[in-house]
Amino acid sequence: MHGTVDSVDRSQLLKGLLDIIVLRVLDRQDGYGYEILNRLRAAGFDELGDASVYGTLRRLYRAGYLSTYVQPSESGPHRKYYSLTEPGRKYLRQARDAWEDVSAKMRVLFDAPPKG
Amino acid sequence: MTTTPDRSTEIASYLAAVERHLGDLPTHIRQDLMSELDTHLSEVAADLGPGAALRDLLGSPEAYARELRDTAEVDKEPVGIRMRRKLSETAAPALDRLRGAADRYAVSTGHADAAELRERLRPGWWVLRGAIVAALFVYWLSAAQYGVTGYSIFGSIPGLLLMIAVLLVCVWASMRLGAKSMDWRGRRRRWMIAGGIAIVALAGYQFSWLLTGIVPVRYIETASQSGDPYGYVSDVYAYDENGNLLTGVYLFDQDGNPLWIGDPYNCPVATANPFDAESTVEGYDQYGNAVENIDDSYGYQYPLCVAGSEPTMPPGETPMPGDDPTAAFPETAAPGEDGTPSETPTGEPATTPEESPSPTPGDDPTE
Repeated sequence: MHGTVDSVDRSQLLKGLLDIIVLRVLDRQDGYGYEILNRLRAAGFDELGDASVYGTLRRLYRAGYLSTYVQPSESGPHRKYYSLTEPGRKYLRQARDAWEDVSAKMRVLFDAPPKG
Repeated sequence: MTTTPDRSTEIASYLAAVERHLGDLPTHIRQDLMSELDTHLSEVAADLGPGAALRDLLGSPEAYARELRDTAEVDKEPVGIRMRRKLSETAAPALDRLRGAADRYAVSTGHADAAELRERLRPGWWVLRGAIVAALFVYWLSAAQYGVTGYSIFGSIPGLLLMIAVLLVCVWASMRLGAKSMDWRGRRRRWMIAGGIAIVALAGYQFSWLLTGIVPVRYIETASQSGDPYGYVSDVYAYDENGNLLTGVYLFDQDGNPLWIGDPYNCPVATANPFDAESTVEGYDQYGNAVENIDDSYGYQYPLCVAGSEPTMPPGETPMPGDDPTAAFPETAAPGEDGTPSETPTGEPATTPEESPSPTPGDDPTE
């Protein structure tokens, strides 16, 4: 992504990728809502809001791509962990293929020298 | 850090504000979002510094709700998911009541809640599960080898040793599996639960006869009565169309041969000559050898036993109900209620008053 792109546009772009982003983060390791957000921030997705991540988690959960379990934490309240289900993994593979495909075509599109 | 009381009110008011702004969402989506949002917000709040407010981190509830709405909406819920959700929504009130009852029960046993009680009972369940499996194994093994060798392992020393060994092994394996399964989640855990239920159900099916006391019948004798369908008949009573008992009856088959049905020597009381006096020669007695001598071309004369002495046919089954055959034929039937022949009734009234004094002694003529 280009650093010069306006941040509103970036968040609009990311909206379509939220599923892949969240699923990919959880594919590596189970996590609870706020921690997932921090992982995303650490990965450079600063403009993602807590509500976006939470809303995506719930939507993916309702779709059967995520399962949840509660674990007590040493400090503070119990945490609701999310983990990928088998349909979730399958969905992530398909989404990743789609993204790779789109990304490759975008690369070709941008690399083509402008005419004139 | 822990959620302080003022933090929980902050969360609650934030939640309420978010929910107000989600009012137009489909009910199931809104409910799903709100059901977990308090957990989520407490996670977030736990990370907040003492001076920071929820709003500082998350923005205004309106913005939060807008962002939620943008990401949370699903065009279409898969049918399977929807059915499962509907089912769980329907079952939720009953489950809640059940959970409440379980908690109250656990509290009454001196535990904090049902979860703690379950935690305490878990090792006991592991032992029980192993014992049930051992019982099933021994039961099946004994049934199989009894069918082959005819040797019952129950009540024998080798059998006892085998049972103890199987019990120890199964309980050990069950406890080991239980300790391992504590870390399992999701599918494997569900399989464990299903397996436990299956074991209990199987044992309930296999050992239900212990509760009902009915031992399952494995072998049924079928050949006993194939030869003579009237083998059980010991006497024959013939009645006329008015329901009166016929005496002095002879039975013949289609070839004119007498039907030798019944056994005159089975009568509870000594009978008259079963062949009747007129058809017999003198010198008979009541034993088979002598009977062979007499003219047997007529067969037995029925009833073999004196009428009424054997209640083989209850009065209700006679062609005319209420017409007691014993009463209709006082000369053949005994006048006494017990129906014994005329020899015995003379002794009968004499004995009864002595054993149990009658309330009206004047009734008895013998006194």
